[in-house]
Amino acid sequence: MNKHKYLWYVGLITALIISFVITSAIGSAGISAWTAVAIILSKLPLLGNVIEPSWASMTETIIWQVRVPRNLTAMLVGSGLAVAGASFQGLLRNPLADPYILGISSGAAVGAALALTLTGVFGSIVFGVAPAAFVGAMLAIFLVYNLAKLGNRVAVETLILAGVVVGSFMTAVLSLLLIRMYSNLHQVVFWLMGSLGKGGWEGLTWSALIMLLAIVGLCLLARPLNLMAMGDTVAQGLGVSTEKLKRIILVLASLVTALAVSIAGTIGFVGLVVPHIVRLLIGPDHRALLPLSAFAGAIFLLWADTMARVILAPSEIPVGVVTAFIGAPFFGYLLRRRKPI
Amino acid sequence: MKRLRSVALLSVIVMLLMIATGCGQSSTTPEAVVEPNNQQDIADNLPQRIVSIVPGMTEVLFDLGLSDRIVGVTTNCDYPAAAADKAKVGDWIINMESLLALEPDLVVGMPSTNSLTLAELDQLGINTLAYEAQSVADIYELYRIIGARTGTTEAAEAIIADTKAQIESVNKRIAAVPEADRLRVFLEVGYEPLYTASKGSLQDELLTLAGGINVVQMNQAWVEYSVESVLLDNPDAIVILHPASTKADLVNRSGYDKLTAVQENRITDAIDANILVRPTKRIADGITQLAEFLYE
Repeated sequence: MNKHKYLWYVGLITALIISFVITSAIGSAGISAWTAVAIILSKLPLLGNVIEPSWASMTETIIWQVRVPRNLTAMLVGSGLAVAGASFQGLLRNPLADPYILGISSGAAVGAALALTLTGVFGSIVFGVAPAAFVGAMLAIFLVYNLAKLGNRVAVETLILAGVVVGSFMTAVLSLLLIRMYSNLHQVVFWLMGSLGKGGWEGLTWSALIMLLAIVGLCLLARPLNLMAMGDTVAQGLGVSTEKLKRIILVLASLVTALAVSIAGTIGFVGLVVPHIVRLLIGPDHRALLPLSAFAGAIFLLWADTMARVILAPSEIPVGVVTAFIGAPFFGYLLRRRKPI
Repeated sequence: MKRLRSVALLSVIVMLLMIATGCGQSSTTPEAVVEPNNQQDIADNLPQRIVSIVPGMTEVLFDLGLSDRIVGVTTNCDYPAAAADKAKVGDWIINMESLLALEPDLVVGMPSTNSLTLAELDQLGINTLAYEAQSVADIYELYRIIGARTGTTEAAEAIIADTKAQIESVNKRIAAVPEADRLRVFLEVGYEPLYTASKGSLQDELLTLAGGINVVQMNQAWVEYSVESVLLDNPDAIVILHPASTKADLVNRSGYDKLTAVQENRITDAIDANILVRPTKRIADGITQLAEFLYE
């Protein structure tokens, strides 16, 4: 069994690297694949000195300043959402859980809409959209946790219900904001549909670091998460401090989701579908599920974003539309495929 | 027992239906708040209580000297300044009650913006006039139509002649710029999502009249564009026509520092977007300012 797992790791990591290289060569600008590869290689510390630049300066700008950071963002957001989705599915013992189930996306949307509205009202940027979305998301999860808490414990079923409550409320606030600032409607709607095009290299640094640390943290909690699947009482009997674990996983998964949403808007289906696909392939053991979901999520979003960039070139579809188009039918297929008990 | 129950239920339902339709009958006679649509009176009675439900039309009405006959505008009608003194009927969404309370005899709007409102008003029997102007020729036609409808044909013709003269003088000034020095321009109409205007849009025509060449040559008025394509097109100048980005924001975007427009500092966010977007006589000012930005 272990040998098989290693094969999966090697396979997915290789697929990720190849996907990254290929998708960096595809785009509306029509740059040849070899040039793209050469440009990327030339930026590497050692290899770089060997390669002679034989391309236009604008080509290098397009590849290195626009496509590469965008693809790195896609990989980051994809892996974050997939791991968060898998964690929530394990924590909440609910196969329909996705990273947004606890009202995080609605909170982030309110934050973003508020930032865009204030920018529109004052004519210049009051809060950045990304930080505002992050604050909104964390506020939502804070409300959800406190709403669901009973004494010192929180039942996972109550968490989901609290998520629905907070999510609905935030959506109502969002609707109010949208209608009051009608002129900004298209900006907020565009943000809601998800886009990986913002930020460039600057957008990546801090968020990337924190997200990677949180993802690693979640992967390390795989074993207790396995035990949680058997119920709180059994897990406690086996030595898991369930309340502490719930809190840590909630914090880490929400952090990852909030960062992902603040960078890229609300991209759906990645957190829902990717863990299920990986589970189909390697089983429900979280020790393998979480890390492999991270890689699979990165590959998934990388290709989804490439399709979003290329299908209607030079126009771009929001990547959330592509993930929904792929994810929803695939999920339907998964449902059909279950064997009768 | 079961039969009795179903009969009783049926008769209750029938009674309710009769009551409902009876109530319906009494409410179909219209309240006399609005005058019915009298087509034959139009030629004789020029409208005296005009409401505009879109800023572009408000400008046109004021231009034609109808300020005394305008009774309502929207909160977005910011030009001319006198429009601020008029009663407001809403912003992007029109408040029907406020509008009807003004007892208008003509409501002017644009099909693209106000189709639902205009349909509602037609159903209520209020006179409406809607015209979509997507080119300079359309704008002249717009002034003529409104002029004919409100009895201000002379003023309309005067405005058209004035505007044509202004555009002519700009053309003369640009004629001095040789073909080889004409600049390739990117019109940024929106950001996130990035939108530009291409062939078939008013902005493209205005740019051409100002002596610029649109880098985006697609047969579509509004095009959602990608940053990569902008970089590849490498425009000589960029005009920002929306409030979402300032010139400083644009320069800081990833990859933009390599553009010719950025390196030669030919970017502007200072031209009022309204004079290049609204179909009014101010497009002449828009063309003038564009030409000055490009070739001065």
